[in-house]
Amino acid sequence: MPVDVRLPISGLFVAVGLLLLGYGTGVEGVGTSAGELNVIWGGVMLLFGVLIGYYGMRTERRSRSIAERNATHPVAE
Amino acid sequence: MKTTGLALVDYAIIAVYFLFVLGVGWLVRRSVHTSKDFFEAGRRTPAWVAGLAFVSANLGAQEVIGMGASGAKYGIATAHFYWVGAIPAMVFVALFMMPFYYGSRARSVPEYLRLRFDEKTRAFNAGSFAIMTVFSSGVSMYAMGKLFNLLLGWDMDASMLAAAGVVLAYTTLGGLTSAIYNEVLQFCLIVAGLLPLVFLGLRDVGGWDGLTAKLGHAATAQGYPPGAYTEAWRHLGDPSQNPVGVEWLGLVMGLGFVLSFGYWCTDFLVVQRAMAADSTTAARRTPLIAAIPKMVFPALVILPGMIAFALTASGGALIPPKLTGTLQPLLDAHGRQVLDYDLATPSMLLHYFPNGMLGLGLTALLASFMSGMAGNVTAFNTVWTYDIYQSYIRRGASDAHYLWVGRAATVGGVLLSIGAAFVARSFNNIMDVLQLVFAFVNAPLFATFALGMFWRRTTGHGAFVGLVSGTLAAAIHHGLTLPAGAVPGVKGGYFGVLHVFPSELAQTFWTAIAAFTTCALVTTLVTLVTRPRPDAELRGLVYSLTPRAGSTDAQLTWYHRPAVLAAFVLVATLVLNLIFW
Repeated sequence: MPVDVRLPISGLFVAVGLLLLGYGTGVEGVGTSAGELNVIWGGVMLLFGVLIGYYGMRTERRSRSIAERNATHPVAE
Repeated sequence: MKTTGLALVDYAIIAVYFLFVLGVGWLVRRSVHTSKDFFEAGRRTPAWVAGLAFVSANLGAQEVIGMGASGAKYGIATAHFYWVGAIPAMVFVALFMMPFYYGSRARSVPEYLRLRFDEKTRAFNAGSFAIMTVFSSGVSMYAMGKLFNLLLGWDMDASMLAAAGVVLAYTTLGGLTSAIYNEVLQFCLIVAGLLPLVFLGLRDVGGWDGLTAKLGHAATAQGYPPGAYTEAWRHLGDPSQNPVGVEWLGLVMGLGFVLSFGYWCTDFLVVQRAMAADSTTAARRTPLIAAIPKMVFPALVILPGMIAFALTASGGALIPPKLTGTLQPLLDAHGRQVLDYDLATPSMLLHYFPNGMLGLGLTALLASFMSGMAGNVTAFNTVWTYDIYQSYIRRGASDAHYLWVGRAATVGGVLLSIGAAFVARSFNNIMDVLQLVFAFVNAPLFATFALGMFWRRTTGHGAFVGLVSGTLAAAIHHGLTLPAGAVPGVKGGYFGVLHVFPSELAQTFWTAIAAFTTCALVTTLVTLVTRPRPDAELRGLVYSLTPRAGSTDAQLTWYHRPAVLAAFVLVATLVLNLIFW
């Protein structure tokens, strides 16, 4: 697999989460129900994006170090 | 229905989504060097990724919009499509069929039929599947264009072409890997877009108890018992006591067995995702991992429809009336307005979501359309390249040539889908036609596969004649029956009317049973008078001649073992059935 699938998911959720958070706090205003909904759900999406991105990066680093180790010490057949 | 304006943030969310799916295609293209990479994702996909793609490829427009519509029309009984239909079939394909699909070296489901039976059986399945998948993709695209035109006033052609263009780009660049990555991304987005809708809707109706009370009044107003919309099994003893119009036998055999097993066990659109897994064990785990979110999806896709109906029935105008060609409300035989149930879920989005969240909800709908379309396109390009082009048009060419053909077939498949979408505009009942095609093609197929995999005596002549007979039986049964209130035509009765079913679903279930039974009987009879292949040619293709796939499971940690996962899924589904009895 070219890259861990969690990374693009993370990117999308962080981007959309920030858009909702920004719109909810800036344009709608947190005092309104529309603003509140955008802020809450934007925050949830941002948090999910960050968490899934963390696990994706960790898996990527682990896969890369295994690949480097195999390149310098090929596994005997 | 009044159209709704979007704010800049809504368009921004949709644009970000498009950028990401295109970006995934661009990222993945560097890993595609061979036809195996393009059509089979290199068989390198981890089980959890393949599992989410397995469920997401199925999660197209017909699922999200259709299940919402069915939830509004039939209530919690719609969950039978999942708890009686999909889940048992997914467990079966995981434990008993994936070892053959994966272990047989077949690159597609039609190719398995060639290995097990003969060329004519493969050709019949490949041809019917290719037509069905392009047709399905086109009808979905048409439904999406129509919906966004209705909701937002978008130009129908432009929205169809834009979505098709994005799917074309990322599937041509990255093949199955790109489709799988985006399906996982789209799955997450669909959950993110629909989950808040369920929370808001349930809060508005007073939770499950409030929903039950409102739907109870709606049920008694139509002459049903109060629990008809919220109890999945209790009222299945008599078709007149439930909105679906079926009894439990027709439901379990027609939906639970024939239609569901016919789809989940033999449709290459979903099986292809499991065949892309990185090992036989991963391939077996893929449908089981998929079954876990599938089992709770009724909450996401059916509940919004039920809530929309409850609010409409208690005086709100959430679901608009269905309109005739002259834009007048359509009335049923009792003079009551017929609701446009297809608009149940979209109406909920417009009702509850402010700008910002609305962009997310609409993107979730778009994602569902596109994941379904990409699933059809990648299945089509594989069946076209391997089962039609390589088999009958040009054999023995280089791998690079077939990779090129695959990319060309992707373009061709999308263009054919666009053509089918434009043709669909000319027909009022195109969704009905599509359901019919599915029932005719899929219903007998499971009999062919079941006999092929579990009875080594089954011959190629038996399989082919059985398959054709089963398809004809479906057409004849449909042609001699009609659902109540329908006129002869696309709904059936075109050969005359011998029986009237209480509902369309009941007719569909019994058509499927007729097709399956005919295929099984004819296959068996023709098999008994034709010569079987020697056992040596069937190793790895038939259950009795293949070492058990689970022999290495003992080395896995207990929660990774397919049998344990299957037991958990079945028990959890049983509990859900009991909770919503």
